[in-house]
Amino acid sequence: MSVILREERRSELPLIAFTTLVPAAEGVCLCALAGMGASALAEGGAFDLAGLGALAALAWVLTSIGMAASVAHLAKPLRAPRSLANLRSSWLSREIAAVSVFWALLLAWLAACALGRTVLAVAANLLAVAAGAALLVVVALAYRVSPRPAWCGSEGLAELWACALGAGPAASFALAGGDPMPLAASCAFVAVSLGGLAVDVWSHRARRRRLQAIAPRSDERVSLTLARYAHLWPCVRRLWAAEGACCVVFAAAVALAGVGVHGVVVAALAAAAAAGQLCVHAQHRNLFYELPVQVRWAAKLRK
Amino acid sequence: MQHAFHFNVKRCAQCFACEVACKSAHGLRPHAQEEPGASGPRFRQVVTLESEDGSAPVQYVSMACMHCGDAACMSVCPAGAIYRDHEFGAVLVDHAKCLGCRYCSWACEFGAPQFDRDGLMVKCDMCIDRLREGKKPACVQTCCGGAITLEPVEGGVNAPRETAARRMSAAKRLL
Repeated sequence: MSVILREERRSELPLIAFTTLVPAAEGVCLCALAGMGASALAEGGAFDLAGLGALAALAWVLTSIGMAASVAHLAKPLRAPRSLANLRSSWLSREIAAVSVFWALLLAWLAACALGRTVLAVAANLLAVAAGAALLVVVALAYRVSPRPAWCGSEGLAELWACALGAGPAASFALAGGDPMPLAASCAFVAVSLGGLAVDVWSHRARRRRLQAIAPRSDERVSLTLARYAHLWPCVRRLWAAEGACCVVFAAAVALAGVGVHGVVVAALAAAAAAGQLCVHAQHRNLFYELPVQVRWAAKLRK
Repeated sequence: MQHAFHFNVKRCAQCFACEVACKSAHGLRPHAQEEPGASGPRFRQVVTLESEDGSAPVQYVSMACMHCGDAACMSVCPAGAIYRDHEFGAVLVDHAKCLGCRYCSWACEFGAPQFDRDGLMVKCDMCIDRLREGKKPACVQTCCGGAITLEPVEGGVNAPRETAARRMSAAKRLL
């Protein structure tokens, strides 16, 4: 038996910004690494360091804005450095440490590109991708708190990766100026973007299935969360449709680039797709924060 | 020595005196003028439990922070602002260190962490100042039915677990 706490509906916009922009930055890092590898293979070891620098700058700016938003979430932002005080047991402390490492590697990557240091830039890109992947795992673990069963599955990590896969290719393509790519690369970029949509669809369905499976032997939090999920499900479907539309716009941009349409038009289309992906994933995160029902445990009634 | 609140549900008359005494002792504002219907932070809250089919009698439960032996809020706080008092075992918060990130409120099973206007975490502190003066907590002092008591837990923070484990072991033998 439990009591539903009077819920204060507080805007989690700063956390939504952090958990949308940071995965998007990781997506840009991945696309940069993939593009660098592909062009190096195609052009016999040469690639565009200036283009790589632009991607590094984008990833660094996205992460910086995300970090600034997460600091703004605090009641005492000036005490933010104290958030590293409990690395031993707090996943939130570890998340702050991980995002700091990611941000530093992005800055190193940007600096290496600006200074024309190719080997350093490649190494920094690789390390940033690895650090970003670890960061997403740590962020997902920070949300695994037992009073919120909706957050306790692997769907949280999947949704973060969905944002990376959805927003990364479109943003990278837009920043690259909409230049035509080899057919294989174009198909791969669009496939990755569609992969993000598939992961989003899977994560919501998997979360609902998991909660339905544990509901019979669980407490009221699960059944209340399922009721809320049922109420929000039409919104989830609309988000899937919107995300699909963004993938279509991105695919159209890539196709137009392939047939020689002017780069500015193509870049604008890709940028619109990227912005749409960010908005959709921000709304996915908003639903993530809306789902849990906070209850206060009380003693079981005895007959 | 670890202390714990004990609540005798059969003695509670739902007079809410414990809630009022707690708010008064800690100077907690009701916020009623700014937000009609609001109650502001309530360290101790009397909740009414009724079974859906009416088969069980209505019960009133006065709940506050459980000062858990394995406090989730303490382990998740990124700033290390939540700590345990060694003398009475109360789980306390250092407002000079609290960031106001609200992570503790996500981790607590009992809804104990709450947030006042400044955004920093506040919660039941077992009236630690009164305890150090040799007095009882405000809720214990005020409860006219003797439903709430504060008693030392022999064996420290793990004693309730050990007691439960012994009982479960005994029940298994009976089966």
